[in-house]
Amino acid sequence: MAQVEKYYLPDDFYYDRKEHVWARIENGRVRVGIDMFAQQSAGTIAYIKMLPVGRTVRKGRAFGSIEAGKYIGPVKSPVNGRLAEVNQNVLDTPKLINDDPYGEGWLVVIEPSNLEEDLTDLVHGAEEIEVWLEAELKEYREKGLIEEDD
Amino acid sequence: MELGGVEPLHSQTIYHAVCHGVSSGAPDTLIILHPGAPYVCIGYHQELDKEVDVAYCERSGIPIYRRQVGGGAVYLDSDQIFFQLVVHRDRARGPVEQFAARVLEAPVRTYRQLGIDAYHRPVNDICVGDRKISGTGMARIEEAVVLVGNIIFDFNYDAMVRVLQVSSEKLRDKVYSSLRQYLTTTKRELGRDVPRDEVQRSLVRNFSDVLSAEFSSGDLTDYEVQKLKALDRLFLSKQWLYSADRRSSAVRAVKIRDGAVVSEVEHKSRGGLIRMTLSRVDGKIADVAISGDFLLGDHLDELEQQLRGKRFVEAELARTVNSFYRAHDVKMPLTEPMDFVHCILKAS
Repeated sequence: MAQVEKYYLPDDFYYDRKEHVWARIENGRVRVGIDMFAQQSAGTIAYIKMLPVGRTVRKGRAFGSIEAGKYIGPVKSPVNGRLAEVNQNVLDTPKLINDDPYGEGWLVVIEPSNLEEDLTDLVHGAEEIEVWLEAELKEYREKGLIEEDD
Repeated sequence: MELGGVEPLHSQTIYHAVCHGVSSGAPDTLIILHPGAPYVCIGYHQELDKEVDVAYCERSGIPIYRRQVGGGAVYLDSDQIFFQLVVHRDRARGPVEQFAARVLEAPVRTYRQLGIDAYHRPVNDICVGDRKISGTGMARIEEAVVLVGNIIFDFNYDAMVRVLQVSSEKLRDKVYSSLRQYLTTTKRELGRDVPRDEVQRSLVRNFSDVLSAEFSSGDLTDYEVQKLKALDRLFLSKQWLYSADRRSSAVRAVKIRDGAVVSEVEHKSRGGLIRMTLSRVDGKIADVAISGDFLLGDHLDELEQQLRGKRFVEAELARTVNSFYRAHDVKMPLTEPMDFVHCILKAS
């Protein structure tokens, strides 16, 4: 498990740098969710919408959206492929994303179509994750986007 | 862009178009406008038929649009000014609450310059005392983040409650009284009209200050104009308007402001149905009206009275209802005190 300040990120997952979406490889399929930084930035998630099973998803394109407070944001796929599973529990109880972002709060499982290539630009491994998130938090502080003590 | 009065549709689609523009390199943009006529606007994840009395709106010639921003159904008209700030997401990363707090300082200052002691109530309401005076919402659209909100000069409370789809007239009445109590306007606070152009100038100045940005007047880019045409078509399509995304809930609830919700809830006890219309304000029961398949006669008012002010905490509610049962020697073996408690907690 990698840790940067108050944020924990499992180091065997892959992460999209800009979207803060995680991907875990499971027997050739990809389980997807949003990481701790993304869910804490959004706040308590009240609603979630996702494309149905069977739909094609494209890397970098939205497969769903989340609503927290009065904020709406897209959730973008880290890989190309087809939606094999959608987490019904998280549709019924969106707060699972806040409570357990890497476990019960997973969003979808994707049958990837080009996995090896799609993984190349994702962050992976404890050291790489820490370097990425530390740099990102530093940049946000410098831009005044997050409070000094947050 | 200070656009003045625009078509109701454009009061929504313009900022969506600008989000596409900013995503493609156009500068961060502040839009100030107001709709030239009334309309109803629903949140991105809302299910139209469950939120709005569509037949009434059609009969009354009130258009309905779905925005790509969160929140609930609202009645909007020319007695408001909208501010719509669109920035590239690189300048709005991090916690949504912190971004909202920073940006909403601008309209808060405008209200204060008018002599209204407004403050930002997280996540994104602006309030005076316990009354909301500005509703806002945020979304990420493409590579842009938009924050929309309004300065409310006057508000047509009757029209707002009339356009809502509610499960009973009792709920409609309760929503009306809660709106009157918890939603205010510049006119109610000051007892006079305020000049629209003064407010507009104040907003531009305050946004400029809080963002440390120099604004220059501008128009939609060619790309944004093309996007606007496409968005107009999208927003007018039945497919977009009726896309049912929000999952249905057994609870019928109308949010008045952050922390203030009116709901209608039901609970089936072995003795029959219990129905309640509940106002929840800041975690407590502000008001409750109870009805159902049981006989409590005149004592019902007393139970309602005793529940007011109680928190949505099972033990506290159980003590209150148990004490009521004992005081009046209530004999309803098939409708137990905990049935009332469970009904109330459905609105928590």
